[in-house]
Amino acid sequence: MSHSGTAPMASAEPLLTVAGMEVVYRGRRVWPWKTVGRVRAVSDLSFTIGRGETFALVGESGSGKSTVARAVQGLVPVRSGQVLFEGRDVTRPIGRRDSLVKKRMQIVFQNPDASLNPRHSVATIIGRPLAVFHNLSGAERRSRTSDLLADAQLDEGYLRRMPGQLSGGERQRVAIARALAAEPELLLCDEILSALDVSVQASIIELLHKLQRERSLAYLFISHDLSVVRWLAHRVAVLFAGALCETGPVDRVFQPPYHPYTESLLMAVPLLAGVRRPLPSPAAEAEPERINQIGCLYAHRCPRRIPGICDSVAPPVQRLGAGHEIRCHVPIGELAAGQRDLTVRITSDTPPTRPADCIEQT
Amino acid sequence: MSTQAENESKPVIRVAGLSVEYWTHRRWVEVVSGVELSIGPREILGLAGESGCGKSTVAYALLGERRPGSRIRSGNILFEGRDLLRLGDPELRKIRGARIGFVPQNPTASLTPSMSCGAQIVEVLAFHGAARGGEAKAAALDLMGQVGLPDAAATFVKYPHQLSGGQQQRVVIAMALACRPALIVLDEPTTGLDVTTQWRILRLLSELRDRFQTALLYVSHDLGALAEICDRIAVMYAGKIVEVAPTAELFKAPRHPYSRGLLASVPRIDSPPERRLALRGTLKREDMPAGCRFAPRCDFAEQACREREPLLGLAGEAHHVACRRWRELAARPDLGRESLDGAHVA
Repeated sequence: MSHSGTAPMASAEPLLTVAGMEVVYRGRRVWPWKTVGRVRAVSDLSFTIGRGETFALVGESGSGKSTVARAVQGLVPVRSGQVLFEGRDVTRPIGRRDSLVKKRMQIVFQNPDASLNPRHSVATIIGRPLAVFHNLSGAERRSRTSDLLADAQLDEGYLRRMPGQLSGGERQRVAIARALAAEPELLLCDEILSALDVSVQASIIELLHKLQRERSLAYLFISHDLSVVRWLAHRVAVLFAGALCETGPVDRVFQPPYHPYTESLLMAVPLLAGVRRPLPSPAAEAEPERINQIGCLYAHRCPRRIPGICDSVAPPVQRLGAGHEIRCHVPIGELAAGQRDLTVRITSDTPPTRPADCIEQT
Repeated sequence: MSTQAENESKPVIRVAGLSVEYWTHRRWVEVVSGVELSIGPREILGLAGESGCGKSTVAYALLGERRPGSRIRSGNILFEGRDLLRLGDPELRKIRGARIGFVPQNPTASLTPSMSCGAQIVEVLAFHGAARGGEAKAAALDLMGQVGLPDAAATFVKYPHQLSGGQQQRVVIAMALACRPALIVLDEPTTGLDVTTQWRILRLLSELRDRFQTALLYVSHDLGALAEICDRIAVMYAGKIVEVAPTAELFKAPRHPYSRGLLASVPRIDSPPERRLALRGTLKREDMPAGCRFAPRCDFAEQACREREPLLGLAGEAHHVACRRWRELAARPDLGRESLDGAHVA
């Protein structure tokens, strides 16, 4: 099912380019000299998404992944950096974007309870973008609405229902159908599966696959579930505290050598085999409270921290070929030593991966 | 000696024939039907199923709690020689929090926002007369250390909003443990927490089970989490238990078509998804047949399945399954979305 490696990167120009994005939540000024809640949510983030490609952002809550989707969509202000859509600069609030850009870039939020108007019927909810972006009305709009519902595997009986009469999975499908109504080329999916049962998750993943095959839709797929990302995404970026730790094709990022943070995320993924995994290092147990803003942001939790360097100098980018990059002071060979493939079931006789096997010569 | 051995094997709690109804659409709808469960000493039993299958209703029943708009139609829950369903509120209050602890899904909603975390643990101890004053404070500090809260003295005076979600859940676990209960009921305790935090909480729970000799009922739709800590898992579908098995056995050889579908639907990092085996459709209580409730979604259902209700039968050591055709399925574990006689089902 994995389509890694077959990522359609043919067209030279990426669909979406994010360059050096920085987003700062300004916080609240409680006194003239004191501000509370000021947070740099995203710092110096760059990535591209090609047509028909799935690019995933992973990280813990608070890592800034939802902020990235909101900033791309123009829902939160970008402090510096650029968002380019097909080479055009669209770095401005959504209200000041032209309707063609709005039409071609749609977002689906995590919580369909909050993103669907409870007083509008499903027909009204899906019909709205059809009227706004495609000037459809009457019978034409009705038939298009039913088509979209069918795409989301819901029958026409749902048209007259209200969001309150739907289950969580059905609501999320309606939210996806609404986003598709505009006929976007890029769909921003912000944790769209996290509130759903596994059976519903599986059918929505299947729907996303189908739409990508048929319309070569591109996805910015934000998720904390690495198991979903592994089989859905072509490329992935790992964020910690708003900064990029590692990026590259999924198969490369999920194989050693890893960034120490990627390793800790992968280690926490449950394997359904009833095997107990090794304990995390005590450093990784630390709750994310203090974050060093000078050196590597992950330094205070990193089990491989190099004293004197990691907490004072920003980590360099180490390129491993095929677009795989790790931002870490620890040399790749040292990272690879002792890291093992965490995406295979651990048995007592699995030997640790030898570093020589996994360093890409470029 | 023999009495001790008897105590060892005697279940902490035994649920028999539990049926619960809810008042919806102007009639009583049965949400839990004839559930049988028992949890042994120090055992972690998982209760799995999709939303709406009745697993939380069972969890609340174990606390002798009736959720609003619900009534118990039949059954009994034997705990320490008494039937929890026949007890009045004053007696239940003495059991809840003291003998049976509870950890709900959302720690932010279950902690009092205007009381410091330490005071909330002290309150539990004082309410059940376990400790008072300085003694209670010392006990609370000790508990906070036991659940892995950093710097117990500092956390004691903090308010819930000053803690992260994982730490809040640790405070709730400390409250559940405070009176050394025989059983703790956990309703989706790690849903909404980060994967890394979830992992730490799961590890903590299995450590605490050993340290406090407590039995756990762990209710979750997250099979990954259940696989991590449970000794046995019961799978519920539409208010009935369809399969119970030791964890490793369930993941290796699920026998009920629903369990098979559920397991195949879980995204796994170590193998690509198997759409062929995954579940189709959703749980709809409106079109429930007289026979097996899973029949409308089952790829292997026959006429007989829709007519006669399957009962839980033995399918291995400590492995029970409620399916007429489990033997045929067991013989062909790779069978997918095709019926047994080869005809393809769309």
